[in-house]
Amino acid sequence: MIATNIRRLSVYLVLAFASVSGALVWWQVLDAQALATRQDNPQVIATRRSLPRGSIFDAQGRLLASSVVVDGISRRTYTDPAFTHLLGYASLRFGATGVERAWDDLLTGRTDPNPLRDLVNDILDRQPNPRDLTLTIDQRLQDFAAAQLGADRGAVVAIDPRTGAILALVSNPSYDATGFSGDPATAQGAFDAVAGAADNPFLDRSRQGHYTPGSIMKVLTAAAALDSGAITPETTFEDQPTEEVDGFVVSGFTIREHDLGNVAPALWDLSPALQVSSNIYFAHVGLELGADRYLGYAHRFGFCAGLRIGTDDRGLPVDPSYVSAQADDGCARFRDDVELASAAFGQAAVSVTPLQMALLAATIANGGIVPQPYVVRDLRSHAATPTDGPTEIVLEAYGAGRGNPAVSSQVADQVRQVMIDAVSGPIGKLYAGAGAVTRFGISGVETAGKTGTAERGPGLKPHSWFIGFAPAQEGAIPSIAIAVIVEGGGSGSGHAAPIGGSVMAEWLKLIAAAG
Amino acid sequence: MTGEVLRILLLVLQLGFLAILYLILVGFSRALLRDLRSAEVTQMASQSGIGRLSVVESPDDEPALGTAIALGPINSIGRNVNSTIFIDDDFVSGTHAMLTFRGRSWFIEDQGSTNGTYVNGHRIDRPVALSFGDELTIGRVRMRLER
Amino acid sequence: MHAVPRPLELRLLLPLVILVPLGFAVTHIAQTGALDPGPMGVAVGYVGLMLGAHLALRLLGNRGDQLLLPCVATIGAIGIVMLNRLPQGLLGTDAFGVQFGMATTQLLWFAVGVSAMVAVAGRFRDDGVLRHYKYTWALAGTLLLVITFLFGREVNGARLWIFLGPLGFQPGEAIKIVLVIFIAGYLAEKRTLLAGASARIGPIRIPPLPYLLPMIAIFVIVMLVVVISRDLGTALLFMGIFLTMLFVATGRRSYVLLGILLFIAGSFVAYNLFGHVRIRVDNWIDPFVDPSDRGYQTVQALYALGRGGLFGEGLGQGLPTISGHLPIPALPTDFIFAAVAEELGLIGAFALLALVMCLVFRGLRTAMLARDDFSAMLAVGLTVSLGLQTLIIAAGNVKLVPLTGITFPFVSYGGSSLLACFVVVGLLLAISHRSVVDAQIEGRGP
Repeated sequence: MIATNIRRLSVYLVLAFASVSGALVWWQVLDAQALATRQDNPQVIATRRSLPRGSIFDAQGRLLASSVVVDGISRRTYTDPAFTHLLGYASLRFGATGVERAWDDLLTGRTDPNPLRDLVNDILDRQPNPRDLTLTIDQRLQDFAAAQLGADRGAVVAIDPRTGAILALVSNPSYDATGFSGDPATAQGAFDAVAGAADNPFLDRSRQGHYTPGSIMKVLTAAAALDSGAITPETTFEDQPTEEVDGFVVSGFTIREHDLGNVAPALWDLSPALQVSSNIYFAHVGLELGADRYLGYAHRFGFCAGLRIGTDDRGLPVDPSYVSAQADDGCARFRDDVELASAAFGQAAVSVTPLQMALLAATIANGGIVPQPYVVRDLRSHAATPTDGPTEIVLEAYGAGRGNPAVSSQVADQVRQVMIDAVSGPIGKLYAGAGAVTRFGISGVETAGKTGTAERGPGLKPHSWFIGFAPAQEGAIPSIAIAVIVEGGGSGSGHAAPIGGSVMAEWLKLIAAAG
Repeated sequence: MTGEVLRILLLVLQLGFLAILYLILVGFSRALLRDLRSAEVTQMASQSGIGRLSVVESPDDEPALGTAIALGPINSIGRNVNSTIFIDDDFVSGTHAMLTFRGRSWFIEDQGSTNGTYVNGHRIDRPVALSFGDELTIGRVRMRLER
Repeated sequence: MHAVPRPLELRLLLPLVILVPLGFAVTHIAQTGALDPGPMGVAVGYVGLMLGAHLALRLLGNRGDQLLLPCVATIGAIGIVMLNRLPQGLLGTDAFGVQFGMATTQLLWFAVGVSAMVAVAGRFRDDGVLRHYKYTWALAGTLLLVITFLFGREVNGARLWIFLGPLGFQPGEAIKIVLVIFIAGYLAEKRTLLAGASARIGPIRIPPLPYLLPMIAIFVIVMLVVVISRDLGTALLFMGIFLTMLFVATGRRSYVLLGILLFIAGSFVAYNLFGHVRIRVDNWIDPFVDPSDRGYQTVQALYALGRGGLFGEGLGQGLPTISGHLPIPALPTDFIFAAVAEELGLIGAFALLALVMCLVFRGLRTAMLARDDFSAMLAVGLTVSLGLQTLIIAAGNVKLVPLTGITFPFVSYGGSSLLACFVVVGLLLAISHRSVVDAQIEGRGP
C-alpha cells in the first residue's frame, strides 16, 4: 500500500517538475524577446554604456543624433531640439524613449535584421554592429513648424496622406536631451532641470496630449453621416432657424449655437453649416447618425484604441483618442443623446491626440483610406563619420503599411469639397481663411481645412485647432495633411490656422524646389 | 580572424559540454528503464505473498534462524504441530497467537497464552495492528514482519 | 563486510572525467579569450573525490543503489563548474589563515560531505538507532533549533547560523534530517491506526487526532521556531515533507488538502503580520513594480533566464558580473539555477532538472523496495526533502512561487546544505543496501 502511495507521489512530483519546466520555457523562449528589450535589462545597459550606437539622419541625410565612445563610455549628441520628442534619448541612467527606444536593438546592433545572421552572431557571440536610421522627416519642415509654434505650447503633426510618412512631428515646449546621455557627471542635473521646468517639456503633446477637439471633429461627423447615408450634402434640418435663436433642446438639455459673428442664421445644408461651423446642425447630424454608427465610424478612423507610428512590433506608441468616456476596451457607450449630440460637434467627453486629428485630415485627403503612419524610412549600415551623411547601403526599408478604409472615396470627395469651402467659401473664409496656402505665397492651389475652438470651461482660454490638407483641388493629389493645436490659443482661425497654412505652404515650396 | 576561430572552437567545446551532459542522462535513463522492467518482474513475484516473518532470534533453531516464513491470510502460531507457524520452544503455548491479514493490515491476537505475545517489546492484551518492520516475540523466538 | 563490484556506478561516473575539466576549460577560455584551459586543481580534485567515493563504497561492500552517487556527482559537477566560473573572491573562507576561493571552499565541503555519505552508508546498516530513539532525535533537533534561535547569528535577516570560531553552519539543515527520521519512525509505528480509523463530520474525514497529536505537537514547535527565525523557505520545505510523508503513510489526499489549507491560512496571517513576508509575496506578484530595489534580484534572475534562451549564452559567456559586481548578489546560493539556465540555456536547465528527477526516482524506488515500513517512510522523507528543496528554489527562480532563501541541493554554494544533502544520500544508500541484502537472504530461504 505504501508502494501504491509512492507511485502516486511520483506522479505528483513529475507534475511539479513539469510546471517548473513550463515556467522555464515561458521565460527562456516565449517571453525572452520582451525581456531582452526592457530598459533596465543589464545587457541593454551594458551595450548602451560602452558600445558605439548608430546615428540618426533626416530624410535629406542631415545628422540628427550620433555617438562617440570616450574613455570606454558611449556619449550621444543630438543636433536639433525640435526632434527631441520624436527621437527621445538613450541614456545609461534614464533609459531610452522615442525612436531611440523602439529601434534600440538595431541602433546598438544587438539584433541583426537578417534572422539567420542574427542567429550566427548570437551563437558566436560576435561584437554588435551598430546601424543607422534615416527618418521620413525633412529637418527644414520640422524646424519651420517648430519656429511657427514659437513660444506657444502645442503640437504640429504633418503626414503625407498617400503613404503615411510623417513629415513633421513637433511638440512644444521641447528640450535638449544631449545632456542626459553625455557626461554622466552632469546628466542628473540636466535631467532634473527639464523635469522641473514649467509646462512639462517631457510630454510629447503630438502623441500623448489629450485635447478636446471642438469643431474639427465635425469633419469626422460629416464623413460618417455621409458614408452611412444618414445625410446627403443637401440635407437641411427644418427647425434650424428658430433653434439658432433659442437653442436646440435634446432630452431637456439646450444646445446653443456659438457666436456666429456677422453671419445671419439661415436654413443651411452641409457646406454652409461647416463654413459657419454650426453646432446645432452637427448635433442634428449626430442624432441622425445614431450612437452605434457614430462609434463604429470612430473606430474605423482609429479612435478608441492605441495607435502606432510604425508597425505593431516596432514603432512609437500613440495614446488612444476617445469620442466618449474611456472604457476598459476602448470607448464607452454614450450615456444619452445629449452626449452624442455634443460629441458630434467635438465637445462632451471627446478627447483626441494631435496625431489622430492629422490622420483624420489625411484620411479625407487619401480618398477615405486611413494611412498607416511611419517615421523611420530605412535602416542603413553604420557611417564611420556621421557628419558626412549616411551610407548608401540600405539594410531594410520601412515602407508604407496598408491603410484601412474608413469611408468611400465618393464620400471623401464630398467632405474634401466642403472642407475647401470651409477655407475659401464666401462665409468660410471669414473663419478659416487664414489656413489657405495662397496666403503664404503659393498660387493656384486649393486648401481644404477646418478650424476648431475647443471650449475648456469657464475662465480658460479655448484651445486653437486647425486640420487641413493641400493641394485639395479636383484632380490634384494632396501631398501634405496637417493638424495644429495651440494650447489656450483662443479661436482656431486666429492662431492655429495660419500656422497650418504656412507649414503646408512651406512643404509645397520645398517639394517644388526639389523638383 | 583568430578571434573568430577561437569563438568557433569555444562554441564546439560548449556544445561538447552539453553533449556529455546529455550522454550521461541517456545512461541514466537506460538504467532506469532496465530497472523498471526488472521491477515489474519482481513485483509480480512478490505480489503473490502478502508478507512474511523473518526469524531474528531462535534459541532452539525451530524455526531456523534467518529463514523467512511466507504468510497466508490466517496464521496460527504455537507449539501445536498443526499450527501454520510451528515453534518448538518450551515457553510457547499450544495455540499461542493468531496472525491475520484483514483488509489492509496485519493483526496479531494473543490466544490466551501462558507467557504472552509481545510486539516491539510490549506485551499485548488485545488485537493489535502491525506495521511491516514490527517485531513479534513469542516465547524466546523473535520474528520480524516484512513485506 | 567484503568488497563488491559496482560496475554501473563506475560506468556512469566515468564521463565526469571529461565533463568537469571540459567545463573548467570552456569557462576559462570564454573569460580570458585565450586558448588556455586554466587551472585544473579543483576539477581534478572533484573528479578524484567522486571516484574515491565509488571506491570506498565498493570496499565497504555496499550493495545499495548504483545510480544515486553518479546522479549526485553529475548534479554537483554542474554546480562546481558554475561556481568556479564566478569571481572567486566574492565568497569563500578565510579559515586557518589561508584564503580559499569559492570553488576551493566548495570542493572542501564536497570532501566533507562525501566522507559523511560514505560513513553513513557504511555505519547505519541497522535502523534501530534511528528507529527506537525517535523522540530523542526529535528532542535533540528541537533543542538545536532553539539554540540557533537564541544564540545564532543573523545573516540576511534570518537567524540561521551558529558559529564555532571561524566555522559557521546552519543547524536547520541537520534538523531537516532529524525531523524526517522522527516522522518516519512515528508514522511507521502508527500507520495502520492512521489509515484505518478516522472520524467523520458529515462528508469530511477528520484525521484521528489523538494518534497524530504527539507528532503534530513537535512539528508545530519546529515550524513555529522556523517561522519566527524568518526562514520561510525551510518552513515551506518542512511543511511539504510532512504532508508528503503523511500522504504516503495513509494514502489520504484529504489530509494533504487539509494541511495545504492550513498552510495557506497561515501564510495569509504571516503576510499580514510580517513585513518581510509581505515584501517577498508582493515581489513575487510583480517584481517589476520596484525593479531597482526590492524586485531587483528577481528581475535580474528573469533577465538572466531571458538571455539564456534555448541554447544558453554559452558556458562562461553569461552576464553574471557587470564590471566586477554580481548583478544578483545571491547568485551562488539562491539563484544558481538561473545562472545555469542563462549559460546552458533551456536544454541545460532541463538536463539539471532531469538529473534531480532521476535522483528522486531512485530514492522513491529505494523506498518501494524497503523491507519494512520505517525504512520505506525514511527513504520517502529523505528523497522528498531533496526533491522538494529543488522544486521550491527552482520554482522561486522562475517566479512560479515566491522566492525563498534555500539552496539548490548539490549545486548552490554552502557547506551545511552540501553536508546535509550528502548525509541524506548516505542514508538512502544504507537503506537500499539493506533491502538488497535482505532480498538475497530471502532467495536462500526455505
